[in-house]
Amino acid sequence: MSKPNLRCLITNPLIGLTLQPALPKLLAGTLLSSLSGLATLAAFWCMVQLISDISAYWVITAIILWLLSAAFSASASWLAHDAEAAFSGKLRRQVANHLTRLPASTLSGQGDQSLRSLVSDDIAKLHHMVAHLPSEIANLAVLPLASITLLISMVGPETLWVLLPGLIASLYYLVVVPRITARDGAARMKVMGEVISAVDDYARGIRVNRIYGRQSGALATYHDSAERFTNSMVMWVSKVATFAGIAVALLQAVATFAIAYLVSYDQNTIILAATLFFSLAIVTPALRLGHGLDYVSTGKSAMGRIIKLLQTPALPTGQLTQLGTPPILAIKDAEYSIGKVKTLDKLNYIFEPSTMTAITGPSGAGKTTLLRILAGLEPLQKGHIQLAQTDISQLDEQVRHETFLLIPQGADVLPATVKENLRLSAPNATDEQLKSALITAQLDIDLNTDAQILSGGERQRIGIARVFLSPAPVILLDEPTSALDQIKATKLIESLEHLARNQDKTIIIVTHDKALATKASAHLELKRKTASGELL
Amino acid sequence: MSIAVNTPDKKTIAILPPIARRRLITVSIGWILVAALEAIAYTILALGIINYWPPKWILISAGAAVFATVLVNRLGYLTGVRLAGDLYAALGQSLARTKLSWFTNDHRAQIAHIAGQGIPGFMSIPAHQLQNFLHAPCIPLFLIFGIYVLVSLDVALVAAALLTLSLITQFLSQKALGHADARRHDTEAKTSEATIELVDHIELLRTAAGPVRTIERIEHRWKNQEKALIKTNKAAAFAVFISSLASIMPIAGMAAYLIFTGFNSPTAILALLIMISRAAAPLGDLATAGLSINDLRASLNNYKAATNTPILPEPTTAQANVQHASDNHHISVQGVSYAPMLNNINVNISIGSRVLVTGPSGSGKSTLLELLMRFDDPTQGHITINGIKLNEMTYDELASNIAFVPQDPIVFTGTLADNIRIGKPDASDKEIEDIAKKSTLSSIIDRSPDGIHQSIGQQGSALSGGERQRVALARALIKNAPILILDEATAALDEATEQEIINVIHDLSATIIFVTHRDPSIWQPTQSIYLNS
Repeated sequence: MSKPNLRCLITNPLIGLTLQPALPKLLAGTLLSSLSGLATLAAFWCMVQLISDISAYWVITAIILWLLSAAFSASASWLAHDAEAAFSGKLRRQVANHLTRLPASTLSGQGDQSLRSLVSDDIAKLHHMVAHLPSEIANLAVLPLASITLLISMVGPETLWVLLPGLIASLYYLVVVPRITARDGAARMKVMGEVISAVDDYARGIRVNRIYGRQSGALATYHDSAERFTNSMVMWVSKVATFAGIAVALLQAVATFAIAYLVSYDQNTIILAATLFFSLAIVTPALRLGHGLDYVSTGKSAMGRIIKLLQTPALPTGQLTQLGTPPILAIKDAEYSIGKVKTLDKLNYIFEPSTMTAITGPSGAGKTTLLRILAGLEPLQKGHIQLAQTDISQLDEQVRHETFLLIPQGADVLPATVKENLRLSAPNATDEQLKSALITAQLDIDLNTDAQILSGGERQRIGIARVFLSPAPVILLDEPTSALDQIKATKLIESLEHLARNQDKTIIIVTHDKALATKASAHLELKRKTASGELL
Repeated sequence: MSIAVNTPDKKTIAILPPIARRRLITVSIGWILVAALEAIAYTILALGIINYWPPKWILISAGAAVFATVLVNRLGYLTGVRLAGDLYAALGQSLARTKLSWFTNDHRAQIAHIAGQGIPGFMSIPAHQLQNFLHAPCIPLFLIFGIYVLVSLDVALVAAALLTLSLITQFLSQKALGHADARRHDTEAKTSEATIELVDHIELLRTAAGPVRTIERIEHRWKNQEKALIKTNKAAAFAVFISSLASIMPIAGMAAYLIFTGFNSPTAILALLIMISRAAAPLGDLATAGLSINDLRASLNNYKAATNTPILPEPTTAQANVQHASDNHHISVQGVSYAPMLNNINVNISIGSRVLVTGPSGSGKSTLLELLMRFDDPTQGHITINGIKLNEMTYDELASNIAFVPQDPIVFTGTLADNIRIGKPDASDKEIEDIAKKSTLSSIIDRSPDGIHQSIGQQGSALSGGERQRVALARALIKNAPILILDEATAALDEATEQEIINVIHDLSATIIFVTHRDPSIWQPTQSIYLNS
């Protein structure tokens, strides 16, 4: 994808559509923000008129204009934030919906931390930019242009000299600061980082240093670090301090007013008043620049990341809601590679219905991947997974979810009670049903227990209890007994076998436990392959 | 150690070190001067308008104000950096005297926070905060005086009243805006929290709840936050309205006052409007600064808490030498209490004994060891080594008697040899290699061509926990101190390695005082101290 620019906000089909409902409010916000500024300018124009014609009329008009300006700016702020809320709400839903429909391998490829910051920080940065850009446009473009027009029309082009201080300061913020940051920013961060780690090292080692009589040496080393920090920072800062000081000083009205007086002192008082009042035309926007426009660049890169995520293809789904009988699950010519390794190479297999099948194989053979493929959470690269002779990618996503129940590896639970955790998959189950499912899963526990305080083995059984609550005809379990002792594991496998036989379910378990695998009626063994295709 | 007995009067110690205070005072005077020059420039401009002056004096006074602003700003930036440097230095200085029992994990986290956020935050005080706190209020004050000189007391009083009212209103509306922002932030955080829960449990959610109900689950939480946001945005818009009105109130009020009191000089009206608008300009910053003062104060108090730490008094070197007595390393613990764990402990340890300190967890085993090394003084009773009370010898004197290996070994960034040499600064490479091999570090020495001169990574990150523990043991062994204190020093070692280390320790003539959570019999203790709170 090319580098994101601000146009993408409108033109990108993914973001643009999301922004569309918020656009009218944003435009209205920009308009009101500009109107607010123009009303202030008009009020000052009344002040100029007041000087030529001392009458209450001009004061009252100005006060009305000021009131209007305040009302406009308040409404602009409300509109911008309201539009922002609408946009971020829509964007959040779009991202979350897309996430839940991504292939498992895409999700794991993203990395937890980057996903977390994408759904929180990046969305925040993007909607922040969307909310603030309109008023910035009013401040940075509309108002300076209007003031300059007024200046030229009321006084003449020679007054443009009053813009000089503001221009110089703006140049500093727009040209000098980014260059200095590009050149010295990293080095300054490094100096900062060094002193922080010096403090940490020093506090960490202080016991050892004292008990080994090295305190004075360590303190001297520490002082050297502090001094190095001061010297390096003074060097960096002194390079820019004068420029920064000049920019700040030029933004004080005193500089602009002096020039305004110089330009207009020999004209009449009205001209002088106009020059003075409108001379700060670009000082205010330059002050705004001083506070930084970083949020635009961070917003743009956040937008790039969000677009990239939204562009990653989701799982294929279809519209089919009816399945034929018998519900036989079959793998047909399945091919799947991870990197260069062909994990599944023309695999064919038919899972007997009403049977429990065990999948075994060395780690890295693709057992978990195969389960995800069977559950429709990972697309095959070639071949088909068929249920009742229908390719599962043609199923409606909700039907597919109701048909295949996958109990993933690792015993994750939500930070909530056991009951809420079970209700995730069985929202309408009664407490008795939940309790009996737990007992079948070898776990006798109060439904209101906080699931997060449970041991790994207990959490694993909460996952397994879902099996006994689900109407799904195909049940896939990934290492369901890894955290259980032998007795519980055996009992559990027997319950699963029983379930398969008595309720006509296709149950498939992945296990590394050979003894358990022999208890299953059918057995599929996967081999690990190297890049060149050898079997291991 | 050269640090003498020092009992500073805590009331007179201001938060900042004296040199930093002097620097800040200089910049403060600078900002007040800038405000004065600026107010003078505006007043001269007003005089010029009224009296049709040529621009000479206006340009000169403006030039002086600009020049002073540049200088003070530059000074402010540089002072900010130096202030940070001073504060880092003062932090190190005060930690150097802090009693060792203070260095808990919490306190270390506090220090890290101050170093990483507190002090860097103070860098903006001279250039920004002082400008807001001094320059911003001085400008209107000086200009009110200018108006009084230029026009009349009445007008100056009206200006003062308008400016005060505007400031108060802006302060209140900024406060409301601040609250709104905080609520917005909170809403945002809670919304993200819901989304992050989705990310963290995505596999569970989509397998257990399916694609549709997964979103429904967080939808409910999002909706609540979105409702809250609508309310917040309305409140914020109202605050914006009030704040905008307040900012133009002085100039509008002044114009109205002049008209309704029959003022009829156009030049004087212009002059006054210019002055009042300049006097009103910094009020917004001042209001915001007033709101930020609590944060600043909190940061300063954090710094104070980390630099105003408890210290243990030490005798001067001279006193200690006089008392230097026999060479008999007899340790005596007499009636020692240390709340809440230790209560009236009495123990005598003779030279060369192997003392097991035992008891249930939380009974104060580590605390007793730490008291022997004077990480703190007992609340009651005293401890002597060679008949000298610990608080009557210098810390260096005490330290020369003791080698210590804590459960969580501290190793420093550097080489293996650097870390071991801490125990004996004049040790030859040969000595270090010998002791390292005795401490079962051969496998590490052999894995790099640099041998003992190999780097062990950032804070020893290239070593495992057990390896770090062996480095700390080697460091203690090479010191060859008369007393060796081991607090679970072999906890991260396998049993065979532990036995090897213990064999080396058994060959020492030193008094060994140790805590272990394993079977103590392999240590062949000659004495046990059982603690039970």
